[in-house]
Amino acid sequence: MSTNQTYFMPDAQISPAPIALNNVSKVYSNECTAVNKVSFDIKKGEFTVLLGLNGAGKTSLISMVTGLNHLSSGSIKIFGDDITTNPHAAKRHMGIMPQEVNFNQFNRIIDSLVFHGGYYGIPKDVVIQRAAPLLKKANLFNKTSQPVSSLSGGMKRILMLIRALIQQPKILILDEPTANLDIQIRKTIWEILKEEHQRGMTTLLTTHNLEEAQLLCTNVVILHHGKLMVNQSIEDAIQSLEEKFYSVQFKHNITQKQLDTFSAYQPKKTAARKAVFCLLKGQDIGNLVYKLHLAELAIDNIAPSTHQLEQLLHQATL
Amino acid sequence: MSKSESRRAQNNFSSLDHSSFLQIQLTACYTIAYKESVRILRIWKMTVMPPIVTVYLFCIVFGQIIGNKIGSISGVSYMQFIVPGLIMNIVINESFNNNASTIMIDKYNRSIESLITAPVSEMTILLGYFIGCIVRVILAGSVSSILVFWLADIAVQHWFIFVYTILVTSALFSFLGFINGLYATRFDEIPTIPTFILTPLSFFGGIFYDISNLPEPWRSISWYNPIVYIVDTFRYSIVGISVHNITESLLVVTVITVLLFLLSLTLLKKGYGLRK
Repeated sequence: MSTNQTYFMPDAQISPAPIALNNVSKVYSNECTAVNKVSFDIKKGEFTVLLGLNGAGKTSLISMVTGLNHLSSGSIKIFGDDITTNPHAAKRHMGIMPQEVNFNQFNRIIDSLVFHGGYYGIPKDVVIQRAAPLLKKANLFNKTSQPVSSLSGGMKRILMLIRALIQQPKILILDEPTANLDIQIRKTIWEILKEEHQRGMTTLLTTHNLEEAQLLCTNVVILHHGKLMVNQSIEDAIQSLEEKFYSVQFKHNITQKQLDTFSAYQPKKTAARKAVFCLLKGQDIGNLVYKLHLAELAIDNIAPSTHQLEQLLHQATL
Repeated sequence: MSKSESRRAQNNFSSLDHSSFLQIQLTACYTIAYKESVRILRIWKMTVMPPIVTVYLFCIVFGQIIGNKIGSISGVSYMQFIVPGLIMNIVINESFNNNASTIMIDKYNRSIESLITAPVSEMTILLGYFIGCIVRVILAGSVSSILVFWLADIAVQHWFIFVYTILVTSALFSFLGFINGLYATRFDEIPTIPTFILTPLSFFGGIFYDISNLPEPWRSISWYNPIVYIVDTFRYSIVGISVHNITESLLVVTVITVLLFLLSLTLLKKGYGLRK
């Protein structure tokens, strides 16, 4: 055999999926099936939102992916490492921001980060070095000697995100990261998440905030009663809808009378320069843009409305 | 591609190599122990001071006031007889309470989740918390020992047995405390074992009296109490007297410690009290 012979390696072997679920089920001791034979992959760099009504099995699924809960059956692989049989290798890739604040409130802010980094084998000085820019961004840099308990609820959530990023994970798992937060803190968290996504971070997010999902995510997974209902790109998922909503921001103020000429798209004025248009299957967004242009209504911005995800969720959970 | 080459190729991408694994475990173990030490020192009035005050009071009341009327036991003064048991009582209680309470607190504020979801092995977790117990035992035990050794006018005679007994006893009760912490779902479940098991076993463990003077069947029953072996061995390391064979005593304590370690490890791997 020649030494410079090249071998064919299947894609899965060259670069395993960051998260691969295969027939994953979770049945609790009270015989409640929280997750029922769910299979899907999340590819590198994808920002996936996991949607579902309360009790759909989202948190159970996340808990199994992170190793917090055992699987009843099936397998979860993180970059090819099985979370059940090879947990240490699988866990080192993940940064986790759980749903509830889980700090020891008496620890100093810096200690919380140093302890967390230590669990991943990261020395104290490296943790401090890595945390500095994130703490500055969150206006926490001058408060690192204070106990965690001195922070507001929102700042604790930001600190949790910083903690999840300390080990420079390849996968970020976020369980309702912005629930009950004010818009300023939400925007700070979104900004950090967008930057991480641009750097190639693979992210799995659960949220009930559909605006957040639409703003950040590229893919959508919907669970209902523990079963997988939807797993596709947000764009494709929206394309499959019977009705699609688009939010159009105009350059100038508009009147309802001007909009009435587009009755085929059921326009609704939502602000002085903003309206929502409904496109039925077969109606083309390009056509609408062209018609608005002909009517001399200058468009500033056009984006799929959050109604679409709501509709998608509604359709999947009927 | 041969099977071994394929496996190697896969390992290059996914598996954690041994040196990285070891490095993570060492840093994690140090971190858990450091975290525990920070906690112990932060609440030193609760963790370090009470055993020092208690052992000093026991020495004054039982050792000096009552002890002077009792006279000598097995050739040593009553004060010298009770001091090793009192020190060992600190080791037992501090090791147990440290792990039981810290696990319960970490469960309550859910900070233990960040440890479970990290690439830390169960062995590392147990070792880290055990080192935390040792820190607490050293802080409380060393100050107490200096004080009561001076009061009783005694010094360590057998250093290896002295250090080994402290370490193995601390390990035994730290694992027992760990199990109690895992099992407890409420804070009021933490004192159950100390109140109903540890304290009676300590009081009947030969700290204050010579087991060999007990009438039957109490004397035979006492040999089922592991604290008897601990106190007896520790007393031998300091004042040189013992009721039982030292090697056998150390073996009994070591075997119980290993069994409790394996039980803790199994419970931790199964996620008992931590995972659903």
